[in-house]
Parts: sequence; C-alpha cells; structure tokens
Amino acid sequence: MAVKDYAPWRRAAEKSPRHFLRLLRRSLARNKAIPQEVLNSLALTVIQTHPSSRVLRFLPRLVQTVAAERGLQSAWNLVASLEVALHHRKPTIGLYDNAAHYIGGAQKYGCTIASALQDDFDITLIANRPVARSQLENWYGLDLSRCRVKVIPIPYFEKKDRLRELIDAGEVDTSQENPFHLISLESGHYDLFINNCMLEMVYPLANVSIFITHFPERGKSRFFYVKKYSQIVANSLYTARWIRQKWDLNPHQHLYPPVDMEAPFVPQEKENIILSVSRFDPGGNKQQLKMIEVFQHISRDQPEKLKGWRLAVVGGSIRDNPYLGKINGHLSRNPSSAIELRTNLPASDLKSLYQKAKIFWHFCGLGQTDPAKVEHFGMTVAEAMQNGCVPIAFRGGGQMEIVEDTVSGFLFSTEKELAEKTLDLIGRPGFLGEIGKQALERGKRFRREVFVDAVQAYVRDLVRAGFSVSFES
Amino acid sequence: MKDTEEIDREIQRLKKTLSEEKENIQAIEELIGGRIKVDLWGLGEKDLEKMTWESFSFLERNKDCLAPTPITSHREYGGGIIVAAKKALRALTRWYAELILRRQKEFDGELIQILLAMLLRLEKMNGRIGALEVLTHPASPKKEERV
Repeated sequence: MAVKDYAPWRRAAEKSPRHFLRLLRRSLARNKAIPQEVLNSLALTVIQTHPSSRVLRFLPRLVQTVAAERGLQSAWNLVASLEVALHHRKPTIGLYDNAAHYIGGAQKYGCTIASALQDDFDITLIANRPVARSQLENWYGLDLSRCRVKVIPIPYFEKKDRLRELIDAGEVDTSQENPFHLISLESGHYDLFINNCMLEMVYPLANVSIFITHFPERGKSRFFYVKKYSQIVANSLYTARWIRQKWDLNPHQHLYPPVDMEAPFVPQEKENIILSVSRFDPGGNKQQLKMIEVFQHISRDQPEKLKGWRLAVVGGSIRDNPYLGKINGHLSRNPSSAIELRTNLPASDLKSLYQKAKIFWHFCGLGQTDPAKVEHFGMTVAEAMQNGCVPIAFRGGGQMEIVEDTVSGFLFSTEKELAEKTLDLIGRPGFLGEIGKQALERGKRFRREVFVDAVQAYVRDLVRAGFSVSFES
Repeated sequence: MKDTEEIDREIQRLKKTLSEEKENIQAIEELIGGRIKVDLWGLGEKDLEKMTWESFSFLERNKDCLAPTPITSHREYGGGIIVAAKKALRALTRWYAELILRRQKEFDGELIQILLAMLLRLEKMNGRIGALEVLTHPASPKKEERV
C-alpha cells in the first residue's frame, strides 16, 4: 500500500470520525476503490485516536456503510481485522488442499507451513476428503497438534466418482456452476486464506490470501481467480517463469520446498552406487527405463570403468503399475546383476541408500516438450545432495536452481553428456569426493529449518502489514 | 480515558450480526456486493461463449435506466426525514430525468437488440463453419487450446 496516496483519508480519520465517514461515503458513491487493508487501517486509526463515545457511534455507521456499498464480506473483514489488531484473538488461517488426504510433496509443503505457523495463528486445514491430523503428522513427521482439520466435501466430485482418490479440477465443466464456490465461501471465515493446491477456481474472500503454485497446470478459464489473491507464491523460479508465461501474472515470492533427508553423518567411505530416487510414474515421466538402458549401454561400452559399480533405481509405486511392468519386462530380457530395482522402500532404507551412494542420476525432463513434465523443483536431487551424493541431473526445470553445474553437481542435456560426465567422475575419485562435499553444503540451503524461517518471516510480515499486528520474535 | 471494553463489546456485537447475515448468503457476488469481473484475455472458446451470454443477460436485466431504485439512508437518527426529502426531490425532478433518460433508454434497448442479433448471427456462422469443417476435413482432430 502506498500510504501517501491515502494521506487525505488518514488526515480525515484523525480529524473526526464523521469527517472520515463522509469522505468514505462520497468516494464509494463515486465508485472510487479503496483497498480493504487501507480501510481496515483507517478504521483502526479512528478507534485509536478518538474518545470511546465517538468511536461507539462511528463503528456501526461505518460497518453499515461498508456492507451496503462493498458487500457484507468487506464489512466482516473490516471487523475481523479490528479484532486482530486490537489483540482480541490470534489471527486465523484457513489452509486449503484438495489433495490433503493423499501423500504428496505439495501436501507436505502445506503441512510444513501449518506446523511452522501454528504458534502464532489459529490454523484450520481444509480438506475435501476425510483425513486425520494424526495421519498427516505421521506422513510428514510434523507436529500439527495446534491445528484442526475441517472436511468440506464437494458434491460435484462426490456424485461424480466417489471411488477416485484425487479431486481433479481439470474435470470441471466450466459451462456449469463452479463447484469450488463452497471453498470460496469458507475462505471468507478466516483472516488469512492459503490455497495450497494451486486451485485457481477458488475465489478468496479473506483479508489476506496466498496462492501457492507448484506449477500452473491449467490455463485460464472463466473461473480463474488467481489475480484476486493478495500474494502468489511459487515453489521455484522455474514455476515462477511459467506463471508469468501461462497466466501473465507476477509471483510475489518464491519459497523452495522443505527437504529433510539430511544424514546425521556422511560416511567417509561411500559405496560405488549410482542412485536414482523417483516415483514410478505410470506414464513413465521420470524415465527410469531410459536410465537403465543408458547404464547398460555404458557398461557394455566401458566395462572396465564401470566395474564394481551398480545402479539402484528406487521409488514409490502404485499396485499394478504398467510402467513398472515395462521395466521388469526389459530387465528380464536384458538381465544385469549390477542393476537393483526397489519399490516402496521404508524411509530408513532410503536414507541408508542416500548415505551410501556416490552418484545420483535424475532424468526427469529429458526429451520433454511439455513444461509440466519437467521437474518443477526436484526434491530428490536436493535429498541426494544433503547426503553428499553427487547429482547428475537433467539441465531443465527446478534442477537448474538446485545444482550449480560443476560446483555442487552436474547438469546434462543428452545421454552422451551424462555418460561422459559420469565416467569422468568415476575415473577421478578425489574430484568426486570434493564435489560431494560441495553438494552437501548446497543441500543445506533446502533444509526444513530454512523453509520454516522463511515462511514465518514472510507470513508475519504480511499479517503485520494487513492487520497492524506485532509478533513476539 | 477510553472505555476499551465497551469498544470490544461493540466489535463483538457487530461481528456476530454480520456473521449471522453472512450465513444466509450462498452467492459470492452477493457477498462482495458486485459482479466478479473475468479477464477475457486467454479464455477458451467455450468459456468466452458462456461469458458472452452471461454478460448479455445482465445487460438485458438492467437495460432500463429509468427503473426506480430504492431510496434509503444510513443515518441512525433522522433517516426517515432524509428518505422523505429524497423522495420529494426525485418526484420533482422526475420529468427532467425522463426527458434526458428516455432517449438513453431507447438507445440502450436498440443496442441490446443489435448485440443479440450479432450473437445469434455468430452462432449461426459457427454452426456453418463447423459443418464445412466436417465436409473438408472429416478426420481432423479437435484443435487443442495452447498457451
């Protein structure tokens, strides 16, 4: 808010409540927009400046005027902001995720935000399908004890296909009513509303609203309300670039996701393992099959150099995964004792593999033309680095922000380049160790603590500006 | 000395009243006291068509600039007198308003008529283009919207 633009308003608020009301009515009648946060702040000025008898006469008139001219929500937001500013209660946050009932990186992002803010705010996690707080705590290893969960089913999806786990907003028929208006209405009950599932069809009604984008998946539709949010947050600069390109909007902030795979210690002697950790996406987006083929190709071409090295391909998978079937089929036709395929590994085993592995391969994005299929951030690359495992990742998407090429890892554009860089590293163990140390240092940049500190500072600043509230540091 | 408790109670009372009123409203546009403006740039064909008809029906509903609007006052005391005065003033000036606005009303009505004719023509032309496309490229896939 440019305060100087509203200097006459502030002077009017300081002079007399009646003067301020007259100015407000005149402006509203002329359709002159005044931002909600300015209105909230001016109302607070009147309360703090004038005697209670005048304030008590002024308040109902102000609320009535605002309700009549700007709608009930604006009047409600004004009163709610006064409650917060006068310390009647903690500010409330509604954090919405339509996939909260499903384990995922984006959901972990949202829950980490909730966990980081729960001491300063009253937090409600809004979901569309049942999920227990204890479940979320177990999935992400977080303390959410001061948060509550509210489930709001969306009838459109309940009727459509109750058995399908994910609520896919892409299925919404935009020629009909907006099924997410229920969530928009709910957003009007909080001081701060956070949309953590980049669901552009939710219209924010809260005083302050944040739209978190993990990637702008859909184009604009008639239910496109991202512009209405006070703030747009991107999880990487790559995502930020696509928000600008696809939606013509400028993100206000970028916050890298929290990565907490840091090993308590990194063993001095690592094993000759090339590791890959990625979900076995049924569409084959993460390209594990290509990776196996490349490894087999290098092994055939340079058997001496790769002697004693193995490739561990690890990741989560759904049952009856066609892509996993394809990989197994390939391995049975081209067996190799140096390749290890492991699915749905317990976290402790995964951590141990990260600690042991010397090199980490990540192919996601290779040969892709669709920007959505390139890694938006690349959590597993950062996880590997936190364990001193040297990443060789595809030169694209968020990976380019994590790995500093030739400093804390390597980037490649073609399979040939990958093979060359891998063989070079294998042939120079001292250099491999040096880059591993750099990777370890770089990995710290993405620690959960860094994310928590950034979120706390960012949201506190927003609330301070929107509600004139102070926080204990 | 400021009686903060009384102010706090007043804020609570106002919030309670507003919350109760808010509970009865299910339409966002009613809550925000106006229509949600949609950025038409970047919309797909289907969405644009829907938007066009929605806007058209809004124009159609509000085309009469002479339609009476309720006279109210926000004032706690003396509101009745203000309303009566406003009513009297409006009655006195109505002949003049009508003199100017009757032409505006006719103009708006005609404009809406032309808009409707254009929209209907566009629909018919779309139908004909669709039929021609089927004839010239029977197996062509549907064009995907690209950003």
